Amino acid sequence: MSSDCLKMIGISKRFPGVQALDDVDFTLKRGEIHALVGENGAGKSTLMNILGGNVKADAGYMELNGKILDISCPIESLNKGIGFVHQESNLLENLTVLENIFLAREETKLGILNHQTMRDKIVEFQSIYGYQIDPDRYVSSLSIVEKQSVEIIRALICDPQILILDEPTAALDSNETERLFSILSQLQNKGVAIIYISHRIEEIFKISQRITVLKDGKVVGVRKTNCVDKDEIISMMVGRVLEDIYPNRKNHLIGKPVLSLRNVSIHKHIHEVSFDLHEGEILGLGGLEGHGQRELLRAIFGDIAFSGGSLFGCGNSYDKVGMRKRIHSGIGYVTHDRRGDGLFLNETVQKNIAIASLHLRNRLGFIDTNQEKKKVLEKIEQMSIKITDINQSITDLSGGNQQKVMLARWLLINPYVLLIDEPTKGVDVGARMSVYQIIDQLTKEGIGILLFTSDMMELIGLSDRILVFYEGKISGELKRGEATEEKIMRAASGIRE
Amino acid sequence: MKKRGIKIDKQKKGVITIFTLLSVVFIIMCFYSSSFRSFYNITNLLVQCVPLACVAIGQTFVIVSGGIDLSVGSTISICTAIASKLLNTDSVFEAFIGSMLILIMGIFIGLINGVGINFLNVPPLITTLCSSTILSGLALYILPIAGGRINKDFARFIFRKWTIISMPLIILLIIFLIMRTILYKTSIGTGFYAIGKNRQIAKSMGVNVRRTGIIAYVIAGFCAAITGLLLACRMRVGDPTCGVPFTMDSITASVIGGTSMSGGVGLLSGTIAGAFLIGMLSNVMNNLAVNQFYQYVLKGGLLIVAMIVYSISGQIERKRNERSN
Amino acid sequence: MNENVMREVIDMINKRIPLKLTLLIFATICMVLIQYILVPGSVTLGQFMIVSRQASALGIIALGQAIVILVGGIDLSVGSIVMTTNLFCIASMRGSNDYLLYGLGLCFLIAVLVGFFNSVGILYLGIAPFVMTLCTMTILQGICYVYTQGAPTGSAAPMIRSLGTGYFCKIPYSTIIWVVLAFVSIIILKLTTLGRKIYAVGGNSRAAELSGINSKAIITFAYIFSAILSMIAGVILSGYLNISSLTVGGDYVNNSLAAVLIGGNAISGGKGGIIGVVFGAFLMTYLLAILTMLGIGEVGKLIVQGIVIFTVVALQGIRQKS
Repeated sequence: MSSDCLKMIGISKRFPGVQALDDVDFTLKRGEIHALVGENGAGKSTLMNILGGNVKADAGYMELNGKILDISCPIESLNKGIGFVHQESNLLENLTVLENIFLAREETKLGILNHQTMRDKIVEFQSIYGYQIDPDRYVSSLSIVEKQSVEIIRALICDPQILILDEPTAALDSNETERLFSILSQLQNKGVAIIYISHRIEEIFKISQRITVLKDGKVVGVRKTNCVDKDEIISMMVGRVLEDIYPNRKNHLIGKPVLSLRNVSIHKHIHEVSFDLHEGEILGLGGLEGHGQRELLRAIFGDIAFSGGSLFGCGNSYDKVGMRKRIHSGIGYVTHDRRGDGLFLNETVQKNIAIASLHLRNRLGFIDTNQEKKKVLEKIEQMSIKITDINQSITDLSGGNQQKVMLARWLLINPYVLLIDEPTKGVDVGARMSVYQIIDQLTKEGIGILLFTSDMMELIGLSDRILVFYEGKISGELKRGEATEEKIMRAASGIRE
Repeated sequence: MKKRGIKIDKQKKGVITIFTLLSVVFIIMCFYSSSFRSFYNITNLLVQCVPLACVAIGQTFVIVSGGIDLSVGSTISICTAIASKLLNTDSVFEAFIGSMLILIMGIFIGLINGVGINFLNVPPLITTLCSSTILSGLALYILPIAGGRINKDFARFIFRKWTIISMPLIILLIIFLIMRTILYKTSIGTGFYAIGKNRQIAKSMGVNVRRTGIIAYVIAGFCAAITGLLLACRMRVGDPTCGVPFTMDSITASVIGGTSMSGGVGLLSGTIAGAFLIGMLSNVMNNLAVNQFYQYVLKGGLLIVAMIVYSISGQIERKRNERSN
Repeated sequence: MNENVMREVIDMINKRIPLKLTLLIFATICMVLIQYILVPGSVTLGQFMIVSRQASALGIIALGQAIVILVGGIDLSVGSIVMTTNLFCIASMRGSNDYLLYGLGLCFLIAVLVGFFNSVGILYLGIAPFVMTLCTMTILQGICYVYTQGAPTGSAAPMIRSLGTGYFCKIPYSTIIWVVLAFVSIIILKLTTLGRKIYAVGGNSRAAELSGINSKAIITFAYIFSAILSMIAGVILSGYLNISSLTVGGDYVNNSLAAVLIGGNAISGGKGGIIGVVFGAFLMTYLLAILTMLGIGEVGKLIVQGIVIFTVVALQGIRQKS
């Protein structure tokens, strides 16, 4: 077929402990928006990283316009006309917008940088697509949305044939999303083929022409968007009925308040927010990324300070209590950046699990190693963490097991409140279900759970109650059963009912 | 409005700090001491500072790209040692060829450092420490004690003076202009800042991190060789240990000038100001007839003060950004 | 297929023997063999003891340096602490045991202050460890020069002298102190909560902070610990030399760094142990001793030392990757 501009045939990739991709075929037509969907850990990012030159496939080949495509590094991919906008900012903060956009492919005249040409190109580009970012600003001073725009400009400035967008709308509100879509349709008219990865099924139906569904590293199916409905796509992604994935909490009993926030503020992030977390409750913080939810979790944990208001836990005020004391009193925090500020990557499983509760096994400065081993093994068994040895390196574990290690670490402090930021980021589907079961089990023991997730289905499926945040304020409160994707999105965009 | 090199804008504040400090010390000294403000002393002072400024420029390239070069001192030593052999001729032409060979050797030393760090993955600290040890051994092998001879006419040419302008200053200016062009106006220059901030991201954005890393060390080696030549011409003999203090002094100059040890931040003009500030200290000591030994205390104190100023101004900047956002 | 088999074989070896040490043990055996072949009859226990005494000062300093590197820092002030201790120890004791405690107390106080000073600069002023300890080094050097006016005088107390030169059952006192301190360090790192926290802070300081670890306290401890160990090394050296010298600390900064890295510890922190560092310090001294025995001069020593350190660290790196 002449209209196929990209073919990926028989792509396989194995990472330690998991087969990320297994014989995947993927084709892309010129001028189409092709959505790539699947749950966390289904292999979408790996597939795109192979196309983008960040990862090398174990098997399979790629064709671009009928020619074999061989990519060994990211810049090669960019030079061959494949632009990649990453989910997380992949820019250098100490350089300017201009330098970031043109890094490694600068316009030069006799070896000397030609700033004027580069600036003109950016200005021209911005005027076509309606961006307004001063090219001489430093990336460190940009907001998340602006950083993403810079990434998009970097991907587009060299007229790519293919554009990959990985979760581009995670931090965008509805206006910004609309603007992105109009840019995408402009590009589409110019004949650019777009691969669009998103968790938001609504968006996908709005803009895509075809949908490829990945599950557990395999292609489940390719569908024309107008010949399929949402439920079918979701059941393809999940492979089971939704109710089976998320624990059934309809008859779950919720106790008295364990954590109370009264008019708390965090400078620039949260303004005068009050709510209670109850015993055995899963309280979900919803809304778009960057509206203060993450900061709120960190402030409750004591990592950043509240600028006003008061926090009570079990009747005691936490206002003058530091992070360490809060941990000792039973507040745990599972970070969203597991590899960044969660795990100790050059340590063993045992040490990673034991680190937060050393104070409970401190015998005159020495560690009670027997008790530690006993406790750690207990948790490993209870949470069915798959390891071969308790002294195994943490990096040998799959994402799901690493996440369970994080949970186990906090369970050892005997918490009464657990703050979880992104419970299943980078966790494959099977492990997700067992993470949900663990969380469900914890609430049965009376632990209150406050969580933030950017995955809408997870938020709805897991939470007993959802507080939607918009610009640092609660813009909606939804109970289990009444929460829908539409209602949450409306509240998350600041539209009051 | 067209802007010249854009990096100037960003870190201008750091450079202003250091230049202010430099001029304050200079002006106070000019008022205070008549022997300091004498024309002879000031021209001398300028010439004295050139060798350190030269090697510190090279060091800045390395630190900006996220490394460190502890071998510059030994490179300087071995260059003066070799110079005392190669430039020990009666023909100025031969001396010129000899000095070219020395510069090539400096580049070669940098290349070896760069390859050890970027291809064998030995940390910069240990690679350059080892090459420093080896080079100082070789320098002692070539020239066990200070001695030899430098072609008189060549040395005189290198240290020629025209009132306040002198040949070393011109050499420094040329090097500064060349290095400035490389750092601010070429793609490789942006590459230094990129790999210094985050090697991983720089690589994923397409920067050839290994090549860029090696070039930084090559430049450091080249600058060190020039300093070696200048010192040899000034002393008119070779000295196998004369480079020792330059290692730490070049790092100090660079850091006082606003270069961040964690990489990705730094300007050449700041480094030069830093080098002149350090060079001026010993001159000031002499003029105030202070015990020479206080120099160490002062150098350390100066560095701490500079670091405190940077840390405070950084915090103020951050707060201002927070407020304006 | 073959690659997988290879990987499994390497994994198996990795689990049986701490591979970091195999290289060091292998290097030691090689050097003993070289000495045996080149200078027959010189390999004796007595000679080993002499080498160990020579290595003890470096070995003790390297222990402190290792802890600082484990928390992700670097300490360039160790050499000048040795020098300062040497100077004040000798000057305050005036060759008499009466002033022993006074002298030791003074040195201890100085060491604690210097370690604290380093950590304050690094933690509260946000100065990079390399720069901060460089400052400390320069300032201490200056203080020593100013204090002595370039010409130090005095002699060590007899007890300190015997500490530096005496033997207990054919084992030098200084070697015993070194071994004891190494054991203490191992116990701290492996068995105490403090040790666990040291690894945690060095491995991922942010994650450590979020696990309720007071990383500032841990880092402060590391710098003070390093300063105290350098002080002990300085006292031993004072006893050995019986004079004070302004050049005594010179090589210890570089050599202690080299010893730590030869031992297979990562310069970025959070990874490594003490036994490797002990081996590293011993090997470096032993290498120099063999070179001296062979009649190789300063030049050859420097060159061989540089090449050997680089090779060992490069091999450690390659091995860790596989």
